[in-house]
Amino acid sequence: MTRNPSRGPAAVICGVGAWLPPQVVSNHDLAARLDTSDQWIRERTGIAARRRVGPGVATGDLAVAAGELALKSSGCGAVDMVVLGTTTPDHPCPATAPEVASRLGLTGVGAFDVSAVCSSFLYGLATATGLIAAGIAERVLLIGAETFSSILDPDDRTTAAIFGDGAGAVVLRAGAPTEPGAIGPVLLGSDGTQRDLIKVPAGGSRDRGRAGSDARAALADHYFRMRGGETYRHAVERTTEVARAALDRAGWSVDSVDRFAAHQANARIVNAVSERLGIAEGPRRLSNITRIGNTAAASLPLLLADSAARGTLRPGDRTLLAAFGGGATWGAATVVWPDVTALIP
Amino acid sequence: MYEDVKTLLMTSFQVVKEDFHDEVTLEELGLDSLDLVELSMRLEDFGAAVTDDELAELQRLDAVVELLEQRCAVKEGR
Repeated sequence: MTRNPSRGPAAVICGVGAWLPPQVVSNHDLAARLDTSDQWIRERTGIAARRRVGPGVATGDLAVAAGELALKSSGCGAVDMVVLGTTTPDHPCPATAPEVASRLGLTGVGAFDVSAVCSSFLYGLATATGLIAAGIAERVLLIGAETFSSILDPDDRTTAAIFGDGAGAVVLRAGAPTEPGAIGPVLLGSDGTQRDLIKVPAGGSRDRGRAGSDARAALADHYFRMRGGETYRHAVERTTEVARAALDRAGWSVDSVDRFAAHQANARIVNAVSERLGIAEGPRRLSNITRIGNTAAASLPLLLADSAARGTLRPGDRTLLAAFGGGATWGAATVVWPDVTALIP
Repeated sequence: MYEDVKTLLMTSFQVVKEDFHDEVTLEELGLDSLDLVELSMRLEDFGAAVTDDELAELQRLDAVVELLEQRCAVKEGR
């Protein structure tokens, strides 16, 4: 696991924004074309609806929309670094962040993508925290954005039901570690032996020159695949473990946690992790999965923005963040929620 | 051990006492595929591993407990 920089300024959240595409896909919409039902999806995932982008809309578009709102929320349009966490970049090459930065009027700043699937936001948060602590950046726009629908197999009833599109963003500025909004210890981990749990098999260098695959198989290999049962087990174990470690590093007891912001993977996973941590069902567990599903890299900033805007996450709340994603990757962090106005249309 | 597993199913899997009967299966108790993974993880606390695939294959609760007891005995060197 990673260690945190112990010197230099802290990264402090000073702006929050999120954006969701308007098209809602309900469980009934999915049941009309797949062998599934509203009850089946709700029981296994806790999801009732998810958002989908319209034709021609890409991850960069969602990232710009969320980034703009986060910058507005921060009260200052200027940052000197843009970090974008995503599983679904606009192109395999180049990264999406530089174009997003330019569209936000930030041409010239450092900009790059971070890829850790559903853990991307926490990997980005660790990166932003380090950049600020090292004096490389003073203000960082950190975005999590996905058009997950672009890699979903339309015939896979499991993944089609779970994943949705959306984007969330925060602005982090250099500040003092004792301020509200200061990011506490960030812990990251990975286990490459579990690389096949969550995967898009084709499209990378590993895929080049593969012999014997017919066109149909080749097309199918460009879709996102997930081994649900195994992912559940690893997600529950690793998220619980890293969340406990982050609390330990921060010197927080579980009882002192006001809000648990878990990556909205699947309600069953979030519940299993919460139960193991000893965080009872109720307002301490932030949740928006029923309305928007699992938005992967966008999940945590969307949850924070959504909860802050609805008043279920309030200034001063001691908040624990945790996620598990493909790779496998995982991470956790703590923050005392600051007094910011979250902008989410 | 059967009673302990029964208690686990009632406290953590919303199974009610009336649902149990001789030869009852996990499916009859309302456990879906994710529940089998969760049950497999919880059974590790008893001292031995039974995978979710094995649970799905065995189905009958008495057979699951029998396998769990055998593995615990092997592990304890009995």
